[in-house]
Amino acid sequence: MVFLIITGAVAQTYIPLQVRNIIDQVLNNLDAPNPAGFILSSFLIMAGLSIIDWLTEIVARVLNNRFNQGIQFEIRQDIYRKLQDQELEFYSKESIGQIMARTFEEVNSLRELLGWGLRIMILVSVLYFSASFVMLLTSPMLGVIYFLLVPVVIYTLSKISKKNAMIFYNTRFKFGEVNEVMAESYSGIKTVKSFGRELDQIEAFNSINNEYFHTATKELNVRSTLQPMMILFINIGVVIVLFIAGLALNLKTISSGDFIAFMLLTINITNRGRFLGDLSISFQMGNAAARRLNEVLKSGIYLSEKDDGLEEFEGKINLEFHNVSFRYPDGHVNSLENISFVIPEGQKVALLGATGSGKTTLINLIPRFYDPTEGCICISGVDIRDYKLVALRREVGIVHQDNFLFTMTIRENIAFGNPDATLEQVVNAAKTAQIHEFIETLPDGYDTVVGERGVTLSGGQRQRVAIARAILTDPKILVFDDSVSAIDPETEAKLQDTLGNAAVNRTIIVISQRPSSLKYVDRILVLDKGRIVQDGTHQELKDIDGIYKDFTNAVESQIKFISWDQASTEEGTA
Amino acid sequence: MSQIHADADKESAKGSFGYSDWQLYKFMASYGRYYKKELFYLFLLMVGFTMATSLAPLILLTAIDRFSTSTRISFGVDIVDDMSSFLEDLFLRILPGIPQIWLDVIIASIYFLALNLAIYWTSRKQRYLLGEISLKVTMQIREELFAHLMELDMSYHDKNEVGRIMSRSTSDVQAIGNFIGGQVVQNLINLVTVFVAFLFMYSIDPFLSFISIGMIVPIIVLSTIAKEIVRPRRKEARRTNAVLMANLAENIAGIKVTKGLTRERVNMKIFEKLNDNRRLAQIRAVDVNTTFFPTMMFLSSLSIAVLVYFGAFQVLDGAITIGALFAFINYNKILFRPIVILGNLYEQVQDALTGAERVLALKETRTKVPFNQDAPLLARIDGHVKFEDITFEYIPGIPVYKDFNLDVPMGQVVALVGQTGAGKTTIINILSRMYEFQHGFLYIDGHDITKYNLHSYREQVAAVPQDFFLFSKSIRHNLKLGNPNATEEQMWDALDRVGLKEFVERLPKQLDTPVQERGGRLSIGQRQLIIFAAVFIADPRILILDEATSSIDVFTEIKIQRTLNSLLKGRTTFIIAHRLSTIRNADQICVIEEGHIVEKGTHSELVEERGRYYELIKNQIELAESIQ
Repeated sequence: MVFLIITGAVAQTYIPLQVRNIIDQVLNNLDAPNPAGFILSSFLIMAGLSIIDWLTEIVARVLNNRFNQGIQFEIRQDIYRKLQDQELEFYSKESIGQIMARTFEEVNSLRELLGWGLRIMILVSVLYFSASFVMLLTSPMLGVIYFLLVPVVIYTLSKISKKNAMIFYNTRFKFGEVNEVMAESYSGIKTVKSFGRELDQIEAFNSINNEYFHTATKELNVRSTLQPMMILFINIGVVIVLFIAGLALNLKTISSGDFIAFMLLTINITNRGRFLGDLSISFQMGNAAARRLNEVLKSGIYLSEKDDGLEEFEGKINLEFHNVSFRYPDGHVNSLENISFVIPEGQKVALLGATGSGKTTLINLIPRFYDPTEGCICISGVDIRDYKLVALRREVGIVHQDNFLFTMTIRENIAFGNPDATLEQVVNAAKTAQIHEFIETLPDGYDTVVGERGVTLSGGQRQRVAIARAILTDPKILVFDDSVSAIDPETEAKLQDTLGNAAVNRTIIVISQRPSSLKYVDRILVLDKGRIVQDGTHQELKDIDGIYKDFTNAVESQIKFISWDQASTEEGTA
Repeated sequence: MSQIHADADKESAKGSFGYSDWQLYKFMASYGRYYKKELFYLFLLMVGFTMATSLAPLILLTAIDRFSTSTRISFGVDIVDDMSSFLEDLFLRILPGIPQIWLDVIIASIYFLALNLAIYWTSRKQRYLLGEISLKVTMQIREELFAHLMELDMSYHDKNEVGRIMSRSTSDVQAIGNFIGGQVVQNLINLVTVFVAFLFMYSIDPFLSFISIGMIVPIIVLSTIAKEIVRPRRKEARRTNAVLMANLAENIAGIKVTKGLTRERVNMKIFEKLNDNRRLAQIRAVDVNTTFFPTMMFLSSLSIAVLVYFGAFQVLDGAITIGALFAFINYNKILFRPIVILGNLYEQVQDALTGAERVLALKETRTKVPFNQDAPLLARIDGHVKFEDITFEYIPGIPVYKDFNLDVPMGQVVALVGQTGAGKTTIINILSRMYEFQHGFLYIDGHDITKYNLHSYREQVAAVPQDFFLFSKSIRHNLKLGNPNATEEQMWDALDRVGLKEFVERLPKQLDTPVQERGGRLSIGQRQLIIFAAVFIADPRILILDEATSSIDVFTEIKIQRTLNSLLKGRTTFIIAHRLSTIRNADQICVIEEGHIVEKGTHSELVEERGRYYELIKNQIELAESIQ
């Protein structure tokens, strides 16, 4: 590619030389033999050079296009790989908007630089050197002056650019804020309307929009100055060349053909050089973009994985917590404090506790979404950090509170963790999760597309699909993070029957606000402010003063009209 | 009602909104009326720029001729010549005895410099002014859209997901902005330069000027062909890009599931495939330009060659000077510069039209529940709510309610119970004016509420919706949803009432702690409590609780039960709840089935009646007691 650009540039340098030949040898030389023939041959040479220039330019651009898109492709791949490797801590800090901006907008702004910036840069510098060379040969003094002019221009340009580097960054940052306010207001429109706060939102938006405008105006000022200034610089150069060349011509040190050729060469560079202003803007943007991309690419993975980790659990699958304490990386107090317990294989345990007592935090430690700050967690007597992450997570299934379904068919959603699963396996999982019958009633059955842009399922139906998804991989430890809340008690009973089937011998941990869920467990762990305060069976705990007793006493307040209303979360958006 | 969804529906049905290009240009131009002064100024700059750009080669021409022939050729423009003899006199007076050649060079340089300063200044001003207009217009459109979207009722928001709305307010608006401030308009201005430059060329030598202008014909033909090829390719490139974006967005949203099921490798494979599709489509789209632009430049070089060919003979004949030939070469470049860039015209115009179409469609979507800014303000209400013969439908022709009547005296607590789809939330949606009903009247204290300023009403109503949403900003920001003027004291008091005070006090940044978008540090229950605290701060006359305590655990609920009861005191309250404890003390319980109230009364009355209500709670009590 570089070779082609150089060839093109050299061709462009030769065209003015042809003009010179015509002028010197024909126009200013009245005795020239066969002027018409000479002009014609010069014309043909010029046309030929143009054609070379044309072809090389096309091929160079075609190659450049592939190179450019290829680099973008690679960067996106790298980022995506990095994103997939990141643990949840990363995602609690980065919003979707930010990640999207990094992967698309930032890469796009590199595109400009890679697309034409690189090419123009090579082209201009080659033109510059070849033109200087030609001038140097004809008139050493002019050549030297010409040679010195360009560095001065570039130096001034980079000075200006440096001074304004922050302005470009700030504009992007502000625009990000505008987007954030918009996205949030639209997502939260119902909350806004419920409190009648539309006018306040509008005011807040206008003010951030205004801030953006002011920052953008500063950027605009730099932008609108750079290119015209570039042209001015170049034209001043033209004047200087004109001035000196004019004198040289007058003193007869150069021919008038030389003179014209100089002017043409200068103008040739001017034509490309005018883009240098834009190029320096591209550089700025590219710089800011690269910095933001690097923030993702260089961000640390929070969990380390052993290369020689164990591939599977061996022996009895007992889950043990040994003095586990946990603090979030930006936390100021421990969210879990000195937790110890052993859950033997096949036991069914309920985790109970007030909002914010650490239930979800605790279960997030089991598949290593986070690692404990102190203490360790063992399965089958082996520290979970000694297993391969894939092996561990295959055996620990979690049904999350916010049951997220992807925009794909129900079958694909259930087989999400194991895309090679047969239809039979998918159906079996759906049957266990008590959702098979419902799926059969859908027009496309298992091929119905669900998710944000698909058929809307009710809360209870979504939960059951999520449960089917978790049990398809047949995990040895299954965790329900408040994920049966929208399923009616009768269905829940059936679900628990199949799940708790002695033949499966699966360890089950349930977080639930519903008393009915407690019917199916062998043991209850009560959490309070990050500590385990009670541990025992219903029979053991029900008469001891404590949180569990309070809970059962308050059970009347727990009665919900669930059988009537299992899917009420959908009603509002009907 | 049929008008409400027209926006989204039309687009998916026809792929367009049915506006003519003319309407769209008119829409975009309509923003010009705010910038009459700027546009006039822009016009002046344009004239200045054009004159300076066209004159510059002429000066070079004369200078070159003066040098190469060592004769004093006039500049050919009277004023310039007058000026030049004035300057000459001036220099001769200051520096007597200066050689003629120095004089010439200095004067030519001064002219050229002055012209270039003028070009610099005018083009800089021009760019800035255009850029500023473009920024202002996009800012204005964005603000208008935002305000409009805030006013649009929920029937619109139900149908249009956030991503779609966002793309309206960002990329669509940006496309209009790019059009106004971008290369196209700038180069349309430069087209004027082309015309003027042609006039200058014509005045120097008519024959040669036609050579240059003649080259434009193949360019126009070529760009027409190119645009036909580019169009489908660009569409495909955009589509693959959108698919890739959607895939990424969804994968980030569902990252927890992916991690839990270790599906990272599979996801990567899918992403790689989509990323590659995008790459190939982009290459195909850009490939057209890679041929187009060099061809334009080739034509430009070629026309120089042709100019020199014919020009050389003209010079030999003595028809023009060498300088004039040089000026032609120079003019030729001026001529080609904007025309080459016009290749981009189609792309930007299409983008702008598409953007304008979507923006206009959104702007023309009427809200059914307008702000009524000019209507009379509603004074402090007592809270007597009366639904009279109300008919309501989400989908035209399928009424959820027909002639619905309900009278709630001030201060009463009404519980709505019933199956999914029975229409409980709909009653609340009507009351909080999220949607407009089709027939009947909603009276608040005897006032027809549609005739009043919407905000004066909403300020007195607070609703905790089922699918509540917290802003990712600070806890303070979210509490102020209830009342922007709330004092610190009020906020702490409200947090205390919902049992969150201790928790927030322990946070290092306290009220300024951000409430994160996803996975943040606040549990779902705690987030719901924050909304609840905001309601305390709002201190409304009419309170609506739609499943308000569903994510709050029993312990917390017991703690806040008393506060909840005190909150209900003195206001009219509508509750949709699943917990018996919340419902049993209600003054009225309405059992709703298929758009009708089938039972109405207090808890004990309804239990006695042994109807639908009794059947339901009997089951629930049995179930709960079975664990005791």
